[in-house]
Amino acid sequence: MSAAHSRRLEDATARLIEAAARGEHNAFEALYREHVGIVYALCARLAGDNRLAEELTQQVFVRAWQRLSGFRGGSFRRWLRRIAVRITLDDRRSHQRRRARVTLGETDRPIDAPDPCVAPDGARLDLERAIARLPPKARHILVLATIEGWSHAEIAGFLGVAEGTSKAQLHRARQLLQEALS
Amino acid sequence: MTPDDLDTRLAELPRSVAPSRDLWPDIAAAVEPPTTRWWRWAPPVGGLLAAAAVLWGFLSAPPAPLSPPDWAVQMRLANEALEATLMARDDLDSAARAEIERNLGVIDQAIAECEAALAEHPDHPDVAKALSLAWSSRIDVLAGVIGTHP
Repeated sequence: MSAAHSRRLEDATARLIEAAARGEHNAFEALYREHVGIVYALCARLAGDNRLAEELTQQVFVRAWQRLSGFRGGSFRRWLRRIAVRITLDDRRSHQRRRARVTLGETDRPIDAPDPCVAPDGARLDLERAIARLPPKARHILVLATIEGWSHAEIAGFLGVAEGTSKAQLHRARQLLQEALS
Repeated sequence: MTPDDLDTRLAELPRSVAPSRDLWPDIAAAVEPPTTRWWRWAPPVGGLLAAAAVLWGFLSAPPAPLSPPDWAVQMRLANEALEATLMARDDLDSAARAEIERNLGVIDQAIAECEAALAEHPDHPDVAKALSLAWSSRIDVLAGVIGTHP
């Protein structure tokens, strides 16, 4: 894409955000169409469950709509992705609380493996499934660090863990993935 | 599998994945009061036909300088932004672009006629409704293409 097209796209997104923040639903629908893929991919990988990811994606856009007036510029994609991470991890915590009320003492384990994301090839499908089967904490840190490009300091701050914990979980996740894919 | 192989495969994962269904209707229901979506009840083609029928009686007079209402300005803004978003895509071939532009051209003609009629009859509710339907049709076309080319 040329620089001119990129600028035009940024301008278009900025204008859509302004219009949506004023309550223009058509503009917000356009923002949804443009960004749903990145939000859904992130939710699906963090949650490890495609059906749940669809529900979470809907929640992300509803939350974004409610908070659009608080958007202070910068990268809309990044803002949206942080909402997605927050909502997905909060859902995970409430899922754990619900389960703890039912089954005391059960250790953390991955939720059911998902149906495949759109999978054009077997290798990618294997990798997506292997990520989905990781223990949740390791999966979250792998996705944030490796796929989303967050630093360990960012992850530690966001998740409320020590940086060393983030690094150790990433190391564990990578080992588990290598074993699963060998 | 070596660590480098794993890094390579992780780096190749797509950042964007389309969900298996359109999630917008449920989102729209959550964010949009039903009363504001009256214009979506009519399908786009029916909307254009209605616009054409309403316009029939208003096109004899020459258009006066246009001063669109706020909602029309907002719909134009949304359309411009959607179109810019779509045209910035590099995954549309020239035939697809030509088809889109041809469809938009038909709607643009209806919009121009509606705006001319609205300039002559700024308080006529049917003219305003026809213009809104035409703009909505344009949004549907653009959003539809964006939605099918994620």
